[in-house]
Amino acid sequence: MVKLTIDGKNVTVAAGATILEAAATVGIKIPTLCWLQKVSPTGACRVCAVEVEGVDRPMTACNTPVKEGINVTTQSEKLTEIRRKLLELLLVNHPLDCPVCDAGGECDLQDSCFGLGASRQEYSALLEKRPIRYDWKLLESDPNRCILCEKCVKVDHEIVGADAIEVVNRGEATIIDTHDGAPLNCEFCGNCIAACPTGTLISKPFKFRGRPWTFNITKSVCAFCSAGCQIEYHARDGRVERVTSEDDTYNSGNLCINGRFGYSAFNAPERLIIPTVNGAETDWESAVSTAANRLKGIVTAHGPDAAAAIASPRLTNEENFLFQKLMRVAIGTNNIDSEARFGYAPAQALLAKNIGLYGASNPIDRIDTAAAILVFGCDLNAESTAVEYRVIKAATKNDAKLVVANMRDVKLTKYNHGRLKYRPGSEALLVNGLIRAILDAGVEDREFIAKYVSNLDALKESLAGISLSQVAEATGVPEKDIIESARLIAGKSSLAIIFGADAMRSTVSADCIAALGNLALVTGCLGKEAGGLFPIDEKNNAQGMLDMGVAPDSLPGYHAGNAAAVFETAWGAKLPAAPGKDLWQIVEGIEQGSIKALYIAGSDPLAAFPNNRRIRKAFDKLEFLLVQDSFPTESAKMANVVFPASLAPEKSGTFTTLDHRVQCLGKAVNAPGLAREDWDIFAELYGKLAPASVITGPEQILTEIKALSNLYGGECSVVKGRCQGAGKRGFALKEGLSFVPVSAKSADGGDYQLLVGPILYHNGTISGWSANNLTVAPEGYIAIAADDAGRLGIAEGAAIRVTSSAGSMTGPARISKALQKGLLFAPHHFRGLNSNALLEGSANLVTVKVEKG
Amino acid sequence: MTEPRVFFNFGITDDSHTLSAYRGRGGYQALEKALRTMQPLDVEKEVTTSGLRGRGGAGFPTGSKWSFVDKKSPVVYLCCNADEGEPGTFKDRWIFEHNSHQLVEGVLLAAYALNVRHAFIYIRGEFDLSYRRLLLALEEAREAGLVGERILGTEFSCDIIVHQGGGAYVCGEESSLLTSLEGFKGYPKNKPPFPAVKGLYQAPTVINNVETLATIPWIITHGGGAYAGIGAQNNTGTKLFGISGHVNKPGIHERPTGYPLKKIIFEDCGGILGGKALKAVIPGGSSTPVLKGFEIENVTLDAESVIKAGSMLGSGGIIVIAEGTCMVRLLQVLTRFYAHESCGQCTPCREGTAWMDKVIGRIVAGQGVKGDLERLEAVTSGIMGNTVCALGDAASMPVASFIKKFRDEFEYYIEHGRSMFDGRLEI
Ligand SMILES: Cc1cc2nc3c(=O)[nH]c(=O)nc-3n(C[C@H](O)[C@H](O)[C@H](O)COP(=O)(O)O)c2cc1C
Ligand code: SF4
Ligand code: SF4
Ligand code: SF4
Ligand code: SF4
Ligand code: FES
Repeated sequence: MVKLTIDGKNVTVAAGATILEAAATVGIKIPTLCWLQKVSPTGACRVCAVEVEGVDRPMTACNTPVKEGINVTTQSEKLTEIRRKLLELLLVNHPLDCPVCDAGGECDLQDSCFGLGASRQEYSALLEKRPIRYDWKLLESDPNRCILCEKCVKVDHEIVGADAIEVVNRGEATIIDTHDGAPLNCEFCGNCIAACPTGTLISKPFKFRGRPWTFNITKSVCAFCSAGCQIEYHARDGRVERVTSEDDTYNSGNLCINGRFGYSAFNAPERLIIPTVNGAETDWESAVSTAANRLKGIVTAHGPDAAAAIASPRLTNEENFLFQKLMRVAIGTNNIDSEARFGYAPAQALLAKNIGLYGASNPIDRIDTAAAILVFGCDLNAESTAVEYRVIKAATKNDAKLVVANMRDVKLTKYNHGRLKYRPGSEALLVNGLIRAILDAGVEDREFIAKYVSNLDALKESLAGISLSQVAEATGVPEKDIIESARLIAGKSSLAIIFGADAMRSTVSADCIAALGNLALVTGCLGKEAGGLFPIDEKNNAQGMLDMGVAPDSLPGYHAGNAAAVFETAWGAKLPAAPGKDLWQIVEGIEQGSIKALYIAGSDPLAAFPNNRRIRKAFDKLEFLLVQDSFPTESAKMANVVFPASLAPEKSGTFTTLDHRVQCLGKAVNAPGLAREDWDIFAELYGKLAPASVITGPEQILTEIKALSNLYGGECSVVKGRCQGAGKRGFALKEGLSFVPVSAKSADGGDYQLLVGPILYHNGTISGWSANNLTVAPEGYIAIAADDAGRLGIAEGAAIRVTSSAGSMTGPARISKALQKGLLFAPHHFRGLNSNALLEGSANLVTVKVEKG
Repeated sequence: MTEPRVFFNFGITDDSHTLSAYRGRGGYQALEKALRTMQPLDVEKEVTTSGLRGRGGAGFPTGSKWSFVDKKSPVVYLCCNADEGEPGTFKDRWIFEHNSHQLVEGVLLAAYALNVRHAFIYIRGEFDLSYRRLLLALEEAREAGLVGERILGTEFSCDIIVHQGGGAYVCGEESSLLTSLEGFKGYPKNKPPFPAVKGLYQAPTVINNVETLATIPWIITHGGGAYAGIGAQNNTGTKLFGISGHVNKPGIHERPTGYPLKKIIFEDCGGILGGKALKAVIPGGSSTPVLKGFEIENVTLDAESVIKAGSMLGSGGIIVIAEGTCMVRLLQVLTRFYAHESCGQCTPCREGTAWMDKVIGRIVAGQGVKGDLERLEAVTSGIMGNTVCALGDAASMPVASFIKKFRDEFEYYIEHGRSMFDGRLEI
């Protein structure tokens, strides 16, 4: 600790703290312009000048470390004069177009000038006019307003890791630009806009939408990926006009393109606003009655199991809860499932069985401080950008060792210390290889194993049969890299294992997940202050949806059959005894004719689900298809009855992040037209099917969730945005765990394999309705390795046709350095491309034939 | 009495720059002596005793700079600052062109003292002959086992890496020299941390000027005490002075410190061109405050004396200005230079240098307005002491001193829209 005096006050702070930080601890505020807590200090504006006794020149408080015994003055006539002069100099080259500047009213420069009485007139010379960058997408830059505080550049480099913008030129000609002056081509996260204290970097879609103070600001939670970033909606006249996030949020104010710009989906002209029956617009009464009567008719004629439902990770906890209750109680069937069936749900079930873990074992901020990180089969950039920011922070600021295991090169590979570029289908074998290498090197966490795991010998025995050279051979990863990576991740004080779609939807997913569970135990990554095991899902409420019992075999809170009595008492109904059908069984049931009615809410199987040609054919056979959605989806187009529903900013309720943070939404606007909140629609239908029920709203549902799930608790009023009071029981490590044997075969593909997955610029299919996202990534493409393209004579942008046993697609080729030979990649967001149609089942990889299109 | 010479101690011929010639005059014997008979700390002690002060401009005591470095750190770097960009300064070039080996030996001695395995020479990009002579010297030295592994068969190994600058004056500032070496844009860094603690690639780093390092062999050969005995008391030794401007014989002279400024101008350089009167002198490179002719009467060439007169010894680049020169237009040359060379990082310098240049430009164009001088003065005071690196000060001092000392000329120019001294100076 260091003792010093600031403005006569005694201050004690940790060594290494800056004068600015020290002053803040005693409530002394020193003016700053270029300082931003979440990035390294820049020290460029000099506004934070303070006097240190005995030092002849003023020191900048933001980057000068404290020293024992120094005496600091932060306010004096001399300092005020220095600061005033600085601001006046800044104004020399500043256009003073505050009245038309988008930052007017939220500009640090404006505020500071006002505060220090600086006026431009003092130094007016000739004003240089620099061209405004109108040619960038989503962002606009007016260098004339720039004060060169470098906050944008620091955020872009240090937090986002995009290295898209930098300080170019020198002297007075200095501006912020792309390094080659070409139009911005970046992640379009807009974090630089948020960091910009002036009106230099602004959001194009928000430009001229109105002065900042004229919007209603509602705290809420991002509705795209499962990281659950905390945001504010700025709304006026029933429209969300921008999304921001404050630096004091869980996500430190950092968002991704979806969080910041995806809101234009909410305002899409395609939004469904009127209920329809057989394509004809109608009122709610007739739509709901029709649906209720059709459902009742089918249940009466064929029994409750002739109905089924597909719920959605986009719906709130309360809505998912009500939906499954409606199916179980009002209809009387367990046939409810969701897209989590493709990977997240079975992976969770496996880990629950093997190590008692549902979702992540720790909050995601424990990734920041992990000593080592393994990102396995996950393109974090696309699957959960906010988690990627944490990995970047850990690797660059906190010295974490990073190993990236991915069949493709992903953004994080530029930070990795160890790299495992494996052959598709060899995931499980690779994990076993890592475990083997850890055991060989003797760097397993013995203490942890001794305390929590009973059968190390069994594990050793089960791995005795494989040699690292075999693993290297089959995975395509050099043996030394496996050994090196094992050393990087094991034997550390903490480890974060992050895994995503390529693991959970691998062709050998069950083995891969079981092996990852073993790896977590061998390395002791569970139950520690830092690190943990983190499954990643692309969609925001996948975890909450499963918590709510959206699965054919589990009730809310993962209660199974024997707990049914409690639910039966509470709900005053007999629950169906046998487990229901899971998603693929539902499809089969429809194909076979046993399922005749399907209720889909918040999901579009015909665009977003794998093998969707098959699903489309099945849907043709349905007697009754009820779709509740906000957009005219492919599925809605086939529906008998369509209920127009609301999106996140239009509703109340809670979402649960992948790491069990239950956060309340803030309702910022009303749903457009006649559209209603999903819970409200469920409630009305529920009332028609089971007239005794009275559902008053999310508060009431949440109370019930808390009472029954045994998972959620705490005080929470669902109305207040972003409240985390609903608190969820986290992971508790138990003793007596065991390693499970993993048969780590490698799946063998053909010459060409297609990987289907998300990209950074979109999230699910909803962003396909977002004009903002579409300006950056308007259409699908098929990425192919340069080698393969050369062999097939396919040029960049030329049409390419890819065919699997399930379907085919034609799209523009994108020649990629990130892909290994024989591997193709297509984004799964685009309805036009419909790459999902080529997948044969849950796996995100399929053997294909490739030809010129 | 013959004055001791550290640099001008041999006759320049076509091959006097080669290794054999250098060895013939005793070259690399200091290195032999140090490696075989002295501990690294002994070398540092000699340098400290010598009283040598940095020749790069700031005049910081070299031994003291070295003492800040933790020699036990696993890596220590040495960077030789050969960016020589200050207008009016051209002494380091002389060393490269005529005696690169002396610098190489100095670098090796410093590296030995500081436990440096890799030393860098950051050489001004525009230097051509200098660069070639340096590469030649290094090649010869490497072949002779003087650079690289196990130098002279001892345990001491040191490689010297040469890096050519990209033409930015600011890269001569030590912290931006390091950022530039690391491959980034040459931006100065805030200090602390000082390079001696966290420099190149975060390792402790010493940055010394060419002339500073090239002096070390002499000190090791003759002893720090002998060096301390030369020249002025608090600014010992000999120094290279580059005299340019309106003198009859411009050029480089080695003189002991404490040597009279007037003498160097009027005797060694043959006096003022065309027999004009002396109007002013910029004594230490373009950034040092200007002195009026009569102010140099008793000035001697050592830090103390020049400071007493109101300026700085700087890099030893003496710019002589004859009567009849327009100080307003002369100042514009300097403001344009500094505005162009400001890296643009910190507010006062970026905005201030550009603003000053525009205002001076406006005055020169005959459009100056009343109050310009007051505002210029206010701006210089706003810049000075408030910037990341010393370029801000360097840019402000000429402006402040020119206006202070030649105010009447500036006022005349503003009032009449033209100079008191029209046209080119006839000499
Ligand atoms: C803008 C600026 C330019 C500089 N240029 C040079 C230069 O070209 N050569 C040099 O030796 N020192 C230059 N310096 C001084 C260096 O920062 C540093 O003080 C010097 O290299 C230290 O060496 P010394 O201790 O041997 O003098 C410059 C300083 C500033 C502020
Ligand atoms: S939008 Fe994001 S990625 Fe693009 S420049 Fe700004 S911070 Fe960087
Ligand atoms: S664009 Fe904004 S954030 Fe970036 S340097 Fe300029 S003022 Fe600062
Ligand atoms: S999509 Fe995910 S990472 Fe992006 S802002 Fe939303 S929660 Fe954050
Ligand atoms: S003083 Fe000038 S040259 Fe030095 S860092 Fe600041 S802007 Fe750059
Ligand atoms: S806030 Fe310290 S220099 Fe800008």
